[in-house]
Amino acid sequence: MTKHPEDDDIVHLFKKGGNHTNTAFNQIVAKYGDILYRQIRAITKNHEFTNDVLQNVLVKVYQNLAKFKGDSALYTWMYRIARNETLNFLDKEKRRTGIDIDEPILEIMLGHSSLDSMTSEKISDLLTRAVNTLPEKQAAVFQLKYFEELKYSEISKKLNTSEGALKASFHHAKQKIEVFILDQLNH
Amino acid sequence: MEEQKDLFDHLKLGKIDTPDATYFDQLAKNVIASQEVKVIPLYKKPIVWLSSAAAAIVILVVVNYSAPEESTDALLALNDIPTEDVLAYVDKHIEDFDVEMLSEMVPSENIEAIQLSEPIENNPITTPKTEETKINFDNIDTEDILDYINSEEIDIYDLDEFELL
Repeated sequence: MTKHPEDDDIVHLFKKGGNHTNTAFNQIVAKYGDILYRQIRAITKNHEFTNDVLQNVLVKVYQNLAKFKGDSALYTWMYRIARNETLNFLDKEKRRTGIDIDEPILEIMLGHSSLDSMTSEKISDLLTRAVNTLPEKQAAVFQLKYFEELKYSEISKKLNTSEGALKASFHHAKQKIEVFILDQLNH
Repeated sequence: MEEQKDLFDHLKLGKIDTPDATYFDQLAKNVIASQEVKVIPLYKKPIVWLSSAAAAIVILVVVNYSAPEESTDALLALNDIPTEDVLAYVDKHIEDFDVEMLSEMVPSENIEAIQLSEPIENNPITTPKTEETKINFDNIDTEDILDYINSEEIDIYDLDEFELL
């Protein structure tokens, strides 16, 4: 597993300017590029769309990181940019005819009465919509824990949050998502 | 209510295809390339040239308007130049002038007077340089004259009497 520099060091290097900025930016993409990619692709369900959105996200990161004050963790800040960019993109790209769409990110297991009549596509869409209703920090925790399957210790470093707080945050996120999905299924 | 707690246990997360590291390296390079400012030397910027030209024009205008006495003095100084010198200069540089430029320099009310005026006395331009221009045919060999007429394809019968003299 690649050892990446700490976020604070990356941001500090970026703010030095000149070649340091580009070096730091490369470190950011190397460290978070794949996570942001999967976050976006889970929603756009297509590589080309994901590529476009991710490029826009990274441009915004490059343009605005010098003004980043560290009020939130670096990943949380980028998660917010990626989420906004993805939703904006989806608003503009309503038509998807002729585009290859990824397989659903969720597969339904047998045994849950509410899910018996559901398709994988439908439940995947509901999950995506449910995550987007979560507060930013909670959504970021859910992204890293559920989709990225990171350990709490790793998430703790990325989000500058204690593991106990992360467990509580993830638990609440799951509850909200379950309520959202079941509420949608029952209507 | 029990079902709500177990929902995630009935969902299996699929794998999202993710490009390899080279894709992300290239993506970072593309973004950096699109954001890097192209440094253009100041003297190569068109706006600098335009600004300089505009500034030069403004300075010329201001100088011309702010120093009318100097212009007047310069024109008055022309009066001190002897006519012969002026005519000699014009004769020497006549090829440099064109009719339009000359006509612009002459006030329209004076054009008719110029056309009607008599030749200036001793004007080296209007006065024929009889001594200098007269050719002494006595020193030219007859054969040379005939060769010249042949080379120029001049028909001797086309020449009038005056020219032959």
